[in-house]
Amino acid sequence: MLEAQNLEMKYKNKLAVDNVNLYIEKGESVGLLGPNGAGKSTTISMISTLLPPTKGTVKYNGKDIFDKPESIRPFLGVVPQEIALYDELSALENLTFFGKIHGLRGQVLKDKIQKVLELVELTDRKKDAVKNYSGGMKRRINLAVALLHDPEILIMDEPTVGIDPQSRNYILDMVKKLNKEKKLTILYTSHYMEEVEKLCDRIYIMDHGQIVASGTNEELKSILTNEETIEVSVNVHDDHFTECLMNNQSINQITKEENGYRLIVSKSEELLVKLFEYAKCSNIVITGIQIKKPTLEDVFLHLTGKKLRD
Amino acid sequence: MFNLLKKDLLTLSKNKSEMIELLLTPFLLISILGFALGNLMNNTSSPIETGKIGIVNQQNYEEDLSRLEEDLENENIPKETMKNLLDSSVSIDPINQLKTFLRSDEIKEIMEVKDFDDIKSAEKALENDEIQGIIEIPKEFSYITWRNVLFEDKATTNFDLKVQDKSQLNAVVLESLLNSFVEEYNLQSSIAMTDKEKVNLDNSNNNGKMINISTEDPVNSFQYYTIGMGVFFAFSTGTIIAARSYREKEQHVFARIMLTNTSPNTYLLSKLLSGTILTFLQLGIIFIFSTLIFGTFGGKDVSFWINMMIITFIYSLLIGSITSLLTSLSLRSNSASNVGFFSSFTAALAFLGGSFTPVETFSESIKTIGNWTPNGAVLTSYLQIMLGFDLIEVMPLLIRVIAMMGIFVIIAIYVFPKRRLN
Repeated sequence: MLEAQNLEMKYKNKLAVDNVNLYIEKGESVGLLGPNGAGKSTTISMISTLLPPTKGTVKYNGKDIFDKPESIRPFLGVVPQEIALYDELSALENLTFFGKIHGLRGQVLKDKIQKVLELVELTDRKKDAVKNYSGGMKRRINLAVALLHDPEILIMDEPTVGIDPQSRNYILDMVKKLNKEKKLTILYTSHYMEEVEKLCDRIYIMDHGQIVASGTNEELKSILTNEETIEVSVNVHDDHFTECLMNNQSINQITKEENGYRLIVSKSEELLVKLFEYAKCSNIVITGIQIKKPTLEDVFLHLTGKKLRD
Repeated sequence: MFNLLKKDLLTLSKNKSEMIELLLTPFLLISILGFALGNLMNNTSSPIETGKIGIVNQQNYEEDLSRLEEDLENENIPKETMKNLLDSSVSIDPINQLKTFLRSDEIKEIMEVKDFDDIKSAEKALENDEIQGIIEIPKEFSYITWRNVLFEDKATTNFDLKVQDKSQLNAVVLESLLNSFVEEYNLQSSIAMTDKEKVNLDNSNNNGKMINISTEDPVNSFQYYTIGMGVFFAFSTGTIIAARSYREKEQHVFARIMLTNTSPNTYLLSKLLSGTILTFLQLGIIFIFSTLIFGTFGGKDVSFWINMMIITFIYSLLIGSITSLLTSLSLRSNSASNVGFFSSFTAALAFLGGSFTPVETFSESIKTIGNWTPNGAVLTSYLQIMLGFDLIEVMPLLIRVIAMMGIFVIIAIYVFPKRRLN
């Protein structure tokens, strides 16, 4: 349905997006996962026709969208990372304005406004100025504006940034519902892997402007089938203990955490014994050990050498 | 387009701080400057002090009239016709008319007339600064003038004007007054002697610069600062709308608008029209409230208000064009610095344009530069209308403003980003 081919965006001498290839099938929910500055927003800007790429193209149903951008725009609903609304105006005034410039008029416009207000559960606050809304409410009305003209594809650029967990879950549930019940195609970017894990059928992992891995949640985790994650809690961090961990060939990745260490290791029964030996030598006490299945976070760490929120 | 316009008006009307900046601040400044600089303004807006002029009349009127009568008799003109011609000649006597003119109420306000018996005593008074000029009427002045009118004699006569310093304002005014008189006299005498169409008096000696002496009241401080602050704060309308455009881009509202397939040119035009409409409303509100509270333009006739509306409309279009240019520049450069720079630059424009003080008090060159600033040209246009000038007389300045507007719009269209819309 929508396919990005060899997308490249160069700002002066810096490659913000480097040879990105991705596709989205109708009704699919696709995640674009990556840390801040990975190039997700630039990629989304190109896919939504706002930014012509320096190389490559985007095709919608086989047609290059940059040949005639205005033909694809009615099918797109874009939710920017920012609250793209007039905060002096009420939700109703914002919806009316954007509805009208979408060409909606009269009763049709009124019905659409009513429908999206009900969807985001802001009907009773529709006359309040947006600036008086909470962060979560602003995010909801930001989403409502993008849904006003019944788009086929909903492109969301980190739509839950800066809001409380309850509001985030509300938005995620709503997007999931739109995808499952209304068959809305979704392209969702985030640096919260749990959001992408919960919401998306397929995931593209992006770093330094490139797609470093892609696949379903399980496919991505299978990258680490021969590995597991061990979280080691210690009474105190110790340099000698850290050095012992670094010298162990079975340990592929070490992340120092508040109460200990997070290790990505090759599956090995001997390693647990070794960990206790290192602790004894270093005069520290291991207060807890947890062996976990790899998460997307671990996959990302494995692929890029850094955490998603670095 | 209408929706974009309505949105701009709606968002601005809901922002108290911006409304205060656009309406309340100029009004406060009008009040402060109007009261505080009232005296200074009254002096500067009426720089002509009452001058004194001496008249030395060398002719013998009775003798001239007798000679004319003799000439008419020699022409064998019927008695009744002759009587009529003599009556007409007396009525168009240039010296009587000149004296009546110089002693009229309007001229009295700027020029006091003093009669001298001989040229020497007048020249002495001129040297002693008791008078600023002498009008010397030569012998046979009336006679030659009558002959010229009645018999189409080629001989002409003229009166002499002596002034201390030709560049002095009073001297310029005096020369202009005499020029005006001569032109008016020739016209009136031609009408009086309906069978004569010739213009008779030679005013070649009166080579002073022609200036218009307005019979309107001088511009007072409230009028001046209502206009001055109005044109200055109109810039704020432009910068506020342009700054909002930049915020629209920063918050991706602009991108959202573009995704509705609104054309970039429509968006730009909406900014131009928003700037125009809001400036027109802003100036209208300032003028009306200033009149209601301070009586600024009270008692002016309909034609005055029509002319003011025309100038206001042209200036509003200019501010609209500046708005569109600033919008294009800030969207293009991805920075609000252009708007910020222009905001600080407006203070310099306001000074040069005379919004804070009449710049002609500094120098003629600053005034010339000021009239090349958009606000200065419009300020001068408003002031001239208030002084009773016709719209056609201020048209060169307004054409200058329209030309600036055209240039700004062309640059705005050229600079506006058409491909990178995020």
